Amino acid sequence: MNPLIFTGIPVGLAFGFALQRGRFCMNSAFRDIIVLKDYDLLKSVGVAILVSMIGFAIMDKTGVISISPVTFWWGANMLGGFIFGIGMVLAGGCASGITYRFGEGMVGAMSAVVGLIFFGLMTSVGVFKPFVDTVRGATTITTADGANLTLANVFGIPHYILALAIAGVVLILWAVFAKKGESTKGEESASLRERIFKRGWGWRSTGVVIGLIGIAAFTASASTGRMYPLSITGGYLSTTKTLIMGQNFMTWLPIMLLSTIVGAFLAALIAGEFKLRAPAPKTLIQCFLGGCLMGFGAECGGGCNITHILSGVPQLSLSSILNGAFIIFGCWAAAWFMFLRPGRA
Amino acid sequence: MKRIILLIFGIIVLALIPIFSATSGAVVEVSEFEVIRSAANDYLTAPTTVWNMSEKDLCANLLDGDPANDPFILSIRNAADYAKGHISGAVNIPMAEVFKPENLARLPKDKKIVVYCYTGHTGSRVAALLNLCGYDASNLKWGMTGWTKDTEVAPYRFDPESAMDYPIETTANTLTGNYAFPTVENTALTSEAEIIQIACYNYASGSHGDISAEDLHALITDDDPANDPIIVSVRSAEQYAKGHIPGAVNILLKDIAKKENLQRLDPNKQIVAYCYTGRTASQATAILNVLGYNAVNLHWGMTSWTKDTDVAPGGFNPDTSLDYPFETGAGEEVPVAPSDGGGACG
Repeated sequence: MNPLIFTGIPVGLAFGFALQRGRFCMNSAFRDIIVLKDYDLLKSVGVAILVSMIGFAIMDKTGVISISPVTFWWGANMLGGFIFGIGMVLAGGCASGITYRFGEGMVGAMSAVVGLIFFGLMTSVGVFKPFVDTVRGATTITTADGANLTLANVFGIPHYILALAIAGVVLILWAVFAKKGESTKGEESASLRERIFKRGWGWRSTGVVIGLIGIAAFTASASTGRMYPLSITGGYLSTTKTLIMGQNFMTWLPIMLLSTIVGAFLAALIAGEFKLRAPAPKTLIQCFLGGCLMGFGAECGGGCNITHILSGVPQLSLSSILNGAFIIFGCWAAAWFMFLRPGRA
Repeated sequence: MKRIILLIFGIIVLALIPIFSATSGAVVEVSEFEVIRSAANDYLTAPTTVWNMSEKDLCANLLDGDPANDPFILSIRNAADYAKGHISGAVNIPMAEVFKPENLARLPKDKKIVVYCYTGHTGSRVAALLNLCGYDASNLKWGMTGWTKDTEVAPYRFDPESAMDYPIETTANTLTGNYAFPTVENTALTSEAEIIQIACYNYASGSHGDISAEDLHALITDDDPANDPIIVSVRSAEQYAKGHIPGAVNILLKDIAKKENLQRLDPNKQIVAYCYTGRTASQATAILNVLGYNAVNLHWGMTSWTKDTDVAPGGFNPDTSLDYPFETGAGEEVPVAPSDGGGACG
């Protein structure tokens, strides 16, 4: 066993802590912009991607890591992403959302995790595997020398140039077009300790911290030979397989994931927000079914929203950009159906 | 105020582009990588290379009554195990110490060196690296395990019962990436011999653990494709076609230090090399590591992955292994003269 896999513990604890404090959930982020017209979480996601994009580009250029995009299998990306997006609305949280809510004591999120594992395993090793393999096989596209597609290799520009150019231009545009007088609500008035441990974090801090954790995660996991930053679904599946198959699958990712749950639990406990809360049985079943769709979607498309949107998009992975877009479409379709369609509410 | 900070950040990020482009243009005059690679390639492709010596051959050589043709026997086990029992005449230098200049100076350049360890795994690595340093070294096939059945003297014997029954694949895989070679920067010295010696010393004295079949299986079946290593089979094309570890590509040991094969390996990924029983791939592992790759060897090779002897022939058999005499004691400078009677090598 490689002792460096335990670097997953500090990364996971920090990730769980930041998720809980920032209430970082992409389901809420994408759903809120059409249902509530609230853009704060979406901005958090954007900031996290931007920070990671800069970090990954520098680390790739200096040889600390190498950019490792998921395979571009457009059929599986579109199908998996869309179903994952629907699933996360039903489950009431994306992969990171249900994970930090699990740590907070929300029984609905736990039932979604059970569904995610159940259908995730059915897809990765069980009855859905032949179908997913067929879809992937029929729609795989790589570069001429077999590398996985990124915006950089598609356009033939070195990765660091494209990534830093995108990030730099976005930062400058942001500086130019930012609304005047936009300030962080009341954050400055409290002590630093109070702001970190007791109050919810603003979208800027959340985004920057999660982006930095992504960078730390890539470095730590690369030290164990695992060339990818944060993921979630695979960690749940490895943990479950270790429990039911009597063989040790506990590598960096599952150790990081379990620490994430503990980190969220500690954050909630310190802030006085931890409480076991069970929803009505009907909602519990809805969460479970949502988790099932997420499990299938993640294992079909090559990853959950963390693998694709938080970790893949900053690597400019084409697979992740397409998959991420379809997660958003699935989320909007389900949110429209549940909350907005004529005759509802 | 916030706008200015954002603006400054944006400009810094853009400014990194020309800074990085400027630094990547620097040309290195002597590439340590190339020095080591060409030494390794010369060794692996030499037609006279003998990678392993069998226990039978060594014993016969020692007992043929002609001390002039006896090889220099190098034990790389730890001192306590050497004292418990060693092949008559062997000199002990633990693996981590072998590549110190003062120890290399003790080894003959004009004579065959036979390196032995516990099971043949680390002996193979030291033998390969000694060849890079200009010595003529072979590994004693199964190490001390193949020399004696005494489990006090030769622990860690392979048990065929412990072999796994993991799946094998018969469709061929190829690597298609195209990567820059790793940068090897161990020293400021420019003499080729020193560049090679320091790289070998760093590897032999650092961590060079094997991966077990169980751990490798977990890596490739844990639903986390990001941690899947590059798996390189160094077995023959026929054996590769008969069955290989899922996802493995086939590169023969003699071809492992060729540029066209090395450029296919991602220097940032872990590489797992495997062969029949762990010794040939040990050589590949040692060479890849001194070249700056992160490679580990599958312990006991294919014989630990599957019980199918058609796919994994040639495994260590504890029942039919040999039982030759050994000496005890810690004295290192024992003259090379077998004390036991002849004809014991049958």
